[in-house]
Formats: sequence, structure tokens, C-alpha cells
Amino acid sequence: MQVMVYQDVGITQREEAQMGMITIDYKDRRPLYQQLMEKIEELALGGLIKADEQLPSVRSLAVELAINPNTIQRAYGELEKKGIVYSVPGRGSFLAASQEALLSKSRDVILRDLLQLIERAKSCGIGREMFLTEAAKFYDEGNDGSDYNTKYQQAF
Amino acid sequence: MTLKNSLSENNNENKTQAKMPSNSALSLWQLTMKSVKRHIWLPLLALLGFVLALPVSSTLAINNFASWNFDDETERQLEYFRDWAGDLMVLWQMFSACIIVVGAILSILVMFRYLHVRAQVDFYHSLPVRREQFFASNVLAAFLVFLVPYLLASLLNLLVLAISGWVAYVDMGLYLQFILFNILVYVLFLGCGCLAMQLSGTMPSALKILVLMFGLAPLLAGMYEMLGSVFFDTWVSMFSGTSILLLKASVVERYFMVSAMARGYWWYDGDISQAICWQDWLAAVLLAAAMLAISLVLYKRRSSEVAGSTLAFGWQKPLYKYPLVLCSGLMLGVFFYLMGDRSIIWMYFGAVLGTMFMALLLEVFIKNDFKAVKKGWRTAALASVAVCLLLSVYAFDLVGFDQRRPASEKVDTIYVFNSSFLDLSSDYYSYGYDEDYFLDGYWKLNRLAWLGRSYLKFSEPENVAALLTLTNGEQNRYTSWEYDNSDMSTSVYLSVAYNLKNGSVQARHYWHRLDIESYQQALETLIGSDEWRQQLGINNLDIEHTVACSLNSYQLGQEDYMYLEDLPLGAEWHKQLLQTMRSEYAELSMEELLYTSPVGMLELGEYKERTYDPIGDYYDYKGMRHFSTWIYPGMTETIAMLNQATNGMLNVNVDLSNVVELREYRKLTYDEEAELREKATYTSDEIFDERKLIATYKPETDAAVIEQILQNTVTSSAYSHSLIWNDGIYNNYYELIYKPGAEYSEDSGDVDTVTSAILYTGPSRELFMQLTKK
Amino acid sequence: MMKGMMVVITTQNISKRFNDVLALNDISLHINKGAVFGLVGTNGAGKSTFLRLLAGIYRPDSGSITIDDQPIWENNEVKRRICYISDEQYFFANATPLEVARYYNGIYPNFDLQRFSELMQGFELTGNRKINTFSKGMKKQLSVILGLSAGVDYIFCDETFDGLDPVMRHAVKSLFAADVADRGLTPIIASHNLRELEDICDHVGLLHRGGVLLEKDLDDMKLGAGKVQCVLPEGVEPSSLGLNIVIDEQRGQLHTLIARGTQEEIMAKVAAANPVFMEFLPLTLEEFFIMETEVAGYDLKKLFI
Repeated sequence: MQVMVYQDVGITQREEAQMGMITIDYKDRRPLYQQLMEKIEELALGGLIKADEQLPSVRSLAVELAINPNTIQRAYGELEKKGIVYSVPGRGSFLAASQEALLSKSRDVILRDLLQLIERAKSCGIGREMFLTEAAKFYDEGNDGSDYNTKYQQAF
Repeated sequence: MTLKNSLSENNNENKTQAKMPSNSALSLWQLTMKSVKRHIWLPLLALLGFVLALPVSSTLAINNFASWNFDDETERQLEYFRDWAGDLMVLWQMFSACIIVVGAILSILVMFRYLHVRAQVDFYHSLPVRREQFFASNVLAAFLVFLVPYLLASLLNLLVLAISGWVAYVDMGLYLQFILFNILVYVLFLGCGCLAMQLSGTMPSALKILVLMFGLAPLLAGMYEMLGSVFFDTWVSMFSGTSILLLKASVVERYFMVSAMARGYWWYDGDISQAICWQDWLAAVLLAAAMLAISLVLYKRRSSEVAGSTLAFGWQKPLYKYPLVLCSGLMLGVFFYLMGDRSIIWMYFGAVLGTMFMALLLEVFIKNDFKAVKKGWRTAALASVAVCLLLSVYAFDLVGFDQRRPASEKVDTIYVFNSSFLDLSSDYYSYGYDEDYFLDGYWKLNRLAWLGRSYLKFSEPENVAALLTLTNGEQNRYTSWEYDNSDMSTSVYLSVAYNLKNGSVQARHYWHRLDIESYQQALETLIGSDEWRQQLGINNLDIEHTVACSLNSYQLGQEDYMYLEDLPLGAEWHKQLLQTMRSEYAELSMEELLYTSPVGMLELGEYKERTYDPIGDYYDYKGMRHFSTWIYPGMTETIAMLNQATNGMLNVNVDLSNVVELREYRKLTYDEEAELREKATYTSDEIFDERKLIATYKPETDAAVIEQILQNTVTSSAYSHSLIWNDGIYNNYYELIYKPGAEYSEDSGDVDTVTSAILYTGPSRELFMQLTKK
Repeated sequence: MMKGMMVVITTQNISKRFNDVLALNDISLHINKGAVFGLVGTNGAGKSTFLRLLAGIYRPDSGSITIDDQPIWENNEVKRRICYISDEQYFFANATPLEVARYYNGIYPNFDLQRFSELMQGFELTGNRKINTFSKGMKKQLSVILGLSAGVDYIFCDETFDGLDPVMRHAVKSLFAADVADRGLTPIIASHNLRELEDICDHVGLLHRGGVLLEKDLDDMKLGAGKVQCVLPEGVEPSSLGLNIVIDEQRGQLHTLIARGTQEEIMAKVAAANPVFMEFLPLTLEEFFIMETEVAGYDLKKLFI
């Protein structure tokens, strides 16, 4: 099946890269549009999509993922409502420059995750002192976390 | 090009813009042609069949005929070839008819088969094509797959005929008529098959419906006739107009009957008449149109989901079920009735068995489920009761079919057929061979005209009353009665048709015993009536076109039979004979006709035309009908003419020098018989044959007495042709013994030699009265 | 821009009976333009019957069924815009795909032969080979190709995806997605396989024994209920949580509750009871339907694959 040949089709490599990164986890029970929204937000946060960059068209994404275009439409619509994305009639959807909302949401999510992490730490017997110490270490050396990645990677 | 390419936005957008919508619906013609192409084997098969049936068989036949040698007899050759051309036409027509019946049904079943398969009917009915379009294209396709091959083959056939020069012998008008008729009938059978497909959901069911369609009417007719003939003693088969109509209501049967007439005339009577009468055309057109119209209506109403069910419409079920159930119950009831030696109990048993079985079987078949048996009990039982009631009406003759006679005032005319006293001059040879009669009787339902040909008819009140008297008697066809010697009754066997004043015509066969007085009185009235005389053959023949064919003599010592037709008597002689007979007959009294014995029988032949063949020196008669007429002693001039022509064949011919003696016997009295019975050595047959010798006369001594006795007695063959019998005549009789070596043999070619002759007292009214006053 | 929420297919109080079986009982469903409608149900629920009614094969005993306000029965105008793909495909005996395509071409005004050959190539099917040599999967592919080439506005698929291999399924879904995006194709897909429907449909209708159990936007539906597994403190019963509980399964101490409401609502209420353990799971489509039909009083677990 020659579905995957892109050369003579006029989809840019950028688009290709974008679409390649947007995947769906079929085991995830959440609504698809939520998953998409999350994925796009991740990409935005990670800098893989730049501000004012054009997102894949509804059609091409729907075809690529083999899902309902309406789902894509809804995701883009919701993102637009949140201010993460804006659309230009006739041209498509673009990533918004300002990512304040996104960032603030991300922060909320991270803090919530931290809460959960703390609970689990407690139940494993990691004391407050140890927790905060390790946290500070990771935070400082976070940019180059290679040592700790290797050190703790075995745990996984 | 890749799938991705085809999914690319650019390409698709371009395409959607560039694509122009094609023309709206597929035209009827295109749909039809697609259907034809999908089933191309059908027209190929039809072509093969028709080519074999028409041009190939013509070629073979013509080659065969051409091998005959005619020595320059162009007239005769023409006639023969025309005859053979007629045979050829029948051959083509019969072959074509077979192909047409089978082909029409096959084609339409193939075209509409999709209705029976769920996946197929779903496919077709989801398409943007209206049902009328599907219907029309399928029917048209089924028509074309036959039409083209048929016309092609017919053209080829014409070509063969043209090349061989046989076009001259074939009746082209008739040939073309039949081609047209065949096409029409093909459409008719298409319609029938189409209707069957609409009414059914499976192929077996469709075939069963077709069988019902073609056979139900004849089946009902057969049932009606069977019931009548089994239960009613006086039933006349195939007389009822309903039966005849129902029998004709099978298109298959009618089509083949017409096909058999493709030569244009029936057998060799020569009259070219309408092989296809206007009623056939009309019926074919109307039926074809009706079948197709009803099929279309049903197709539009039919649900797609009935594919696979037995019946397509709910209302069909009783129509489908009950005629069969009824017939089954009736047939089994009759079967057991007969097997049980006419036992009523067995009849009910059979009826219930047949009805229940068929009802439950059909229920299972229709629902395709054995459990349907549980639900079907009640209706099956009801049906059984109905059948039993119907059979009871027949078995106990609750309508009085056998018993009732119409009142004399209600009768307009009675038609009578009786072989003993009333069939003088009956036209018995040509009965059934006249194609005119055949078509008349077959289509026109004009039973009276048909009766008039071979039945005698009476409408004078006293004659009607006399006949009604004759019909009175208890009918007991299937029980034998004891023959009682002292019983002064006679057995009467009559076929009668009543034409009542209210227009109804009813026929009966009667066979009963009647007391001798009533019998005698009735006969005297009838034979003495003008009506009877007017109907005698001798009074109705066209003398200009009648010849005396042969003469039988009942006189003692005569050869029995002589062929008169070819004697060099001349046309004038025949004419004069007939005129003499006619006038002498008119003068015979009722007593002479009723009570005396004829001296001989003359067979007359009335013909339509004759041609003389000088080579063989004989006449070739066309359309001859034969009549038998008796010669009575009172017809002296007739007897003289015949004697002259045949050298005295109607005289008593005994040379006393060849006679040993004449004995007079009488039968034993009752007491004498009883005596013999006591002597155990005698069987009852032997007792019956025993007689008592009263006197013996010798030619040497009692020549005058013998002569007188010979003049006053008649031979047994003469006596058997008297119109009225009485067994008492056997009580005294004579036996003439011939000398050995002087016997004469009968002229019939048998080796029997007559050694003696039995003679009875010449019957007369006085003798009859005397004998019956015992 | 979301395609208009215009209702195009309306079925109003439709009933259909076959002999003694009532296949559809007073169904009223509405399908929007450009929506991908999934028709789900148990065996014998009436899905195929419903699709056949939509395709104009069957006629409803009562009620009305219209597309764009026009009745479907024997209406060629409407039927030209519909293509029906049956669960049992029928092709003319001894025909090749090209012959069938030409037949369709003559009947459907917008049939695109070029697209047909492109699609055939893409699926690696030969147009000149007799169809009766095709495997069952290939025949299904062919019917999808014919449907997509027909240029119709509505396509009704009866268990079309079941029986295709995963690669094929992906490809067909992509094709549908493209047509929905490009020209507003409105597919109605009947299936047993909920997982497959989950990603392609945006609306679903659940039929059960001839009746509609629910008809909803898929995402809304998913947001309207959830499953929470929790271990509650001693003496606290799930019924006291103030949740609209549909199903409560208990194994030992662990309660598995399926309740209506958003995730936040449910979690909040459970958390309020200070559970020992608590975890939220969104429902899969399957679970959702099982819930709805159990509510309707029918135990489906053994029937769903």
C-alpha cells in the first residue's frame, strides 16, 4: 500500500513532521478532540510548533489519522476558544503568538501532578526533608539532567 | 498514481470542479441491453433451438420429400406437396410451441430471479431506478432474447423454402399468422411467468405457482367431473359447460391444440378454415396484457424483504392453499370410497386424511417450518368438515341429481340417444371427424347444436311426456339385480339432454328397468309421432349427393353383406332407390316400424363432393357421412329394386332339397326345469339350454307346411333388429337342419359353416300383446 | 468551520414489521449534514433494517423517512444521491469490476470513472479480473471503491469495516475522512465494532430490539459519564455520595462505579467522602453502551465482542 509516499503530493516536510508528531493513543479513553488538543498544546510548549506557524489542515490531518474531520475541526475550535490557536478564513489555522493561557494551564497541571507525586512519595516512605532536598537538586541541575537521568533510569 | 495522490486536496478539488454530471437515469434501452448481455446464453440457446426447429428440419424434410418420384403427375404432385407442406407447418409449429413455452418461462424467471435472493434484490432496489423501469427492462430483455432468434430462424427458414422452391406449396398467409400468434403467445407466457415471480419468494414456489396457474382450472374441472361420475348414476361426462370452459382455461393446452391445426384444416376433410379463430386472438391479447399489468402492479407493491419466503403477499395464502387442500381431500375421499367398495365410512376417513395432510403440509411449506403444524390444526379440521359435507352432498345425492326429472311442462326439447330403438339412421362413421363440429363444440359451447347432430330431438308435449316416462326408474348402476324370469320389465338405457324452457341444458345417462306396459306405450307414442319420422336419416338426406354403399340381408340363407357402391348401377338408379325408399317409409305404419323385423339393412353415404378416377375406375368421395336404414317387409318396391340389383339378396333363400328337417321346439316349463334340477347331473346352463321337441317336419312330406313356416318366421339376426323385445318369443321356436355337405358358409370370410338356423315367429303387435299378457 | 448542523435525514416514528417480528418500533432519528453517524446495536436490533429503509429498499409500515425533506421511496432524485453498501455484496455473475463500474456509471450521474480506476490502483485491485475470484475482503474493498466513486452525498455502510484488515480499515477511513472534508459526504455506518466507530464517527445511535436507546454526539456522550474505582471509608456507601450512579460493582472493598456527570463533578463528590483510594477512568464507547443497555434491562456482555 502506497499510502505513505509523500513526494509528489506537495505536502511540506514541515507538515510532514508535524503530522508525524500528532498521533492518537487508541487506548486513551478520552474524547479524541481532547487528545488532539493536548497533543497540539504539548507541541506548542515544546517549541516544535512556532508561533504564527500554520497547523496542518483539517483535511490532511483527518486523512492522516483516519478520523472524522469534524473531530479535528472541533479540536481547533476549542483551541481557538482558549486562545491558543487562531484561524484565517481560506487559509487555515495558526498557532497564536502569545501562549499565556497555555503556559498558565501547564503550570496548573504540573502543580497538580506535584501534589500527586507528593502523596505517592509519602506512601513510599520518602520524608519531607529528603523530598525537598532531591527536588532542589533536580531543579538546579535540571538543564543538564543527564547524570540523574542515568542514575534513575534504571528504576524504570 | 498513488492512493495518497488521489487523496491530495489539490487533485480532488480540481476533479470535483471539472466533473460534469452525466445524463440522468440510464435509458430503458441501455438497461435492457445490459440485462441481455449478462444473460447472453439465453438468446444463443434460443437461436440454436429455433434454427433446429425451423430451417434445419425444413431442409431435412424437403430433402426427404424430394426423393419421391412422380411420373409427370403435376396435379397430384402439387397436391402431395401441399399436403406435406401442411405437415411441415405443423412440425415447425409444434417445435416452436415447445421452445416458446419453455423459453418464455425460463427467460422471465432468469430476468426476475433477483427478486428471490436477498443480496440481489437489496442491490437493485437501492439503485436510483424506479420499479417500473426495472420491470420494463426485464420484460423487454426477456422478450428480445426470444424475438431476435425467432425472427432470424424464421427468415432462414423462408430462405430455405425459397431456395428449394417450396414457397409455392406453403400457405404463406397462414405461416405469417402463426409467427405473429407465436410472438403474442410468447408475451402471454412471459406474463404468466412474471406473475408467478411476483407472487413468490423462492424458485420452487414460483414453479408451483406456475403449475397452479396452468393447471388449476383443468384440475377443478377434473374434480367436478370425477365427483359427478363417481357418485351420480346418471352423470354425463364432459357435458357441463363449466367443465368445458374450465378445461379450456389452460393456456398451455389451448396453445398446443391450436398448434396442431397449423396445417389449416383437420385431417383430410379439405376445408381450409380458421386455425386460429378470433376468440384465440382476443383471448391471447387480453390475457397477455392482463398478466403483464397485474405483474407490474404487484411488483410495485411487493416488499423487497419477501425474498426467500414462499409467498410474497399475505392474501395469497388462502388462494394458494385451499384449492389444493380441497382437491386433496376430495380425491382421497373418493379413492377410499371406491377402494372400500363404495363405503361411506371409508369415504369420510379418506376425506379427513387427505384434507388434514395437505393442509398441514402446505402450512409447513409456506412457513418453511415444521412447527407450523401446531398452529394449523384448527383450520385443517374446519377444512376437513367442509370436505366431508361436500362429499356427503354427493354421496347421498342430497340435490337429487339422479332422482329428479323435470316436469313435462318445463321442458322445451328433449334430446335422446338410444342405441336400441332410436338410432335409426345415425351418422356413426363421421362422428368426431368433422373438424367443423370439433371447433364448434370446442369454442362455441353450443351444446345444442352439437347434440342436434347425433341425437334425436322431441318437443311435442306428448312426445316429451313419453320420453319422460321412459326415464322413470330407480338408478342403480352399480348394484346388480337378480334376473327374474317372471319379471315383466325391460331394461332401458338412454342418454338424454333436457333443454328446459328457462334455458338450462342438463344431460343424463339412464339405465334402469321399466315395466313393459309403460315401455310399450311410450314407444308407440314416439315411433308413431311425426317428429320422429321427420328426423329419420332417409328423410333428411340430400338425394342428389347420396349413394347406397352396402346392403346387409337378414333373410334366411343369404350372404350377409354386399358392397353396392361400385356396382354398375348408375347414378340414376341410386337416386330412384332413395326416392322409392323415402316414399315407402312414409307409408309404413307405426306397428310395422315398431313390431316387425326388417329384412335387411342398407347403408347410405351422403357426400360433399366426389371425383371419378378413370384409371382405377372408382369414385373418390370427400366428406362422406354414413347412415344406416332398415328395410321393412312393407317396402315392396324398394325390396324389388334391391333384389334386382343384387340378384335376390332380400329373399328367403332355402332349397328344400338341402334340408334334412324342420324341428319345432318349446322351452321347458318351470316344473319341468325343477325336475331336471333334482337330477344333479345337470348344470343350470344345461337346463337353460334344454328344450322340448314338439314336432318335426320333413321336406319330403311336409314341404307346404315348411314353406309356410319359413315365410312366417324370421332369423335371429332379423329379430335382433326389432325395436321391441320380449323374451317370451324364445318360448316357441324352430330349427332348420341342413344336410351335411349342403351347408353354406357365411360370406363374412369366417370359416363358420352354418349347419342349422334358428327361426322365430315373425314379430307383430298381436304376438307382442299376447306374450306380454302372461 | 464546522459544517452546518443542518438536519438532513429525518426519520419520524418509523416502524417496520416482518411477519411476526417487529424489527423497528417507532424510531425517530435525525442525522446532520456532514456528520459521520454510527449506528450500533446488538444482533437483530434493526440496524440493517434501518439502513435498508434509508436506502429505499424497504418501505416503512408507518411513519416518514426523508432526506432533505423528500421521501426516499421510489424517488430517483433522492436515490441518485445515495449509495448503499450492503453487508452481503452482490455483483453480477462473471462480471469484472470495470463492468460493474460502467453499470454504476450509467445509473449514477456523478459517477467518476477516473477516480474509480485511481482507487482501484491504490488498493492494488485489477479492474479486469472476474469478481468471483476475489476474496471476501477484496469484494468489500470493491464495494467501498464503487461507493466512493459514485459521487453521492450519502453513503450507507452496513458492517463495511468489519472484515477488513487494519491497514485496509485505516485506508478506507482516510478516504471517508477526505470526502467528508471535501464535499460534505454524510456517511452512516452500521457496525458491531465500536472501537472502529469511535474514531470515525461523531454521532452515534444505539439501537436495541427495534428501539433507539440513545442518539448522541459522541464526544458529549463521553463527557457525560465516567467510571471511578474507589475504596470508601468504613461505613460509607456509594449511594450516599450524591452521584447519579448507573452501575455499582463491588469486589471486596473495591467499588467500581459508573455514574453520570463530568469527570470533575464525579471526582469532586467522591473526594468529598475521603476515599482510601480513588481513580477515574473515562468510559470507552463499549462500556458506555453496555451501561445504557444494562439500564434498559438487557445483559449484553456475552454478545459484544
